[in-house]
Amino acid sequence: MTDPARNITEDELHAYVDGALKERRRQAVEDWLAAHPADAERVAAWRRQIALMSKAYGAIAEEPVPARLCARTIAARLGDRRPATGLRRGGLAAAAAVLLALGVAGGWMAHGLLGSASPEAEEVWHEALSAHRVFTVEKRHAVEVGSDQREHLVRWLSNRLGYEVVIPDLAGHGFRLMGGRLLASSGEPAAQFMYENAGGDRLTLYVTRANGGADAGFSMGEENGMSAFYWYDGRVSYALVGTLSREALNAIAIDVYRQLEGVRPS
Amino acid sequence: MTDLPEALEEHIPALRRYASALLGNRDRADELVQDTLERALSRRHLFRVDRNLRGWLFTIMHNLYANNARSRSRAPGFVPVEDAAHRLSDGPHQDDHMALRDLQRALSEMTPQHRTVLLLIGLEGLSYREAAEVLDIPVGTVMSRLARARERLRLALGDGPGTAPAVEEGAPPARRRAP
Repeated sequence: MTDPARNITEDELHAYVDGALKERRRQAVEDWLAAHPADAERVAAWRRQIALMSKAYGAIAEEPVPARLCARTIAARLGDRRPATGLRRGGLAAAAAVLLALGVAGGWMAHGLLGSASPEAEEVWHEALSAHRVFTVEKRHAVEVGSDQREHLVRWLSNRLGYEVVIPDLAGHGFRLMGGRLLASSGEPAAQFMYENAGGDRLTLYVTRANGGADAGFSMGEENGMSAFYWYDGRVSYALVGTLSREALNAIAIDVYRQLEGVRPS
Repeated sequence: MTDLPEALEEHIPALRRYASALLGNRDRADELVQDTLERALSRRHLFRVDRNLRGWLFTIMHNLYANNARSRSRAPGFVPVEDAAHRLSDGPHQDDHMALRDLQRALSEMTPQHRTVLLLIGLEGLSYREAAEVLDIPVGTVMSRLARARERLRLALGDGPGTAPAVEEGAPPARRRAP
């Protein structure tokens, strides 16, 4: 016969739905469907199936990934101690700049740099990134308690975290405090403070007394366009997260570290 | 160079989505994802940089799923997601809710062979060849399973003409789970 459309197979109808046909056959299938309403209806139904599956399950892939599914944490738990996982030594240059600026040549910070980040540190670091990703996109509910209630915010979070929380002032860097919220970190209370500059860039400082691991020092890591400086002062883990350049975030991290230095819980 | 844990991160959301649809249970889905990641990371020496990471992860997940399904062959392997419809949908529209429930029920009543091809191709967008590699079956088998699975789902959802397709592949009809 002269009608090539007669050669349309069931497989080709599916390949048409899945966008797997070459242009010439795609046109042939379309001609066939125009003349065969029952097949056209089945093809339309298959497309509705795909849309329905996406509607039913698509949102799952938009959710933040729970900490226990963090590949870095799992790799660390599996005993991987090689560098370049998680809080990467790739951040060495930046962290070294921090060390230099602070004039700290040894001590706990150098230890953290040279050693390997603990799994606990990896987890806090990852939770700080997740919290940053989830809450910085919020317009109206970015914080739980706004900076207009700063005293209440400090009192509340100090009570929940069990030490005198100090909120760093980042006005010198052009960032104003928006407020904070209470979060959970590995079953321990955690707090997130959010800052914003005139350009709409947002920074978060994540604070938790969840065990930061004995050997965690000052580390820097990047993920999905976010950078995070992490440090642990023996009782409290801190992570400063932002999408600024590494250098800009580094400068702010130094400042935050200095402002918090005198207030470490005993 | 990007290391494996970092490279894995971008695929975890899709693994969670697929596992949730496959198992119909969020908690068991995340367990399967965790098992998959552990397997992948503990076998990182087997992974080559030039390989398709997504395909490799889905292959690992499928093998774990198939082994689990085998070991539980007598147990009710599928737990319908009672709360997924309201957790997953954007809004409380009743029609949407019903459609999602119907979809979940229909998926739960399919054989794993049909469910896997339907989801790998329809939900995850794998090519026929990628799906064939993940499932370790010929492309032709992927196609015939896909055709049967879509027709079964269509009839289960009561969507479109009630007749079977004109072209049948000649394979025996898939077993249906007893209610």
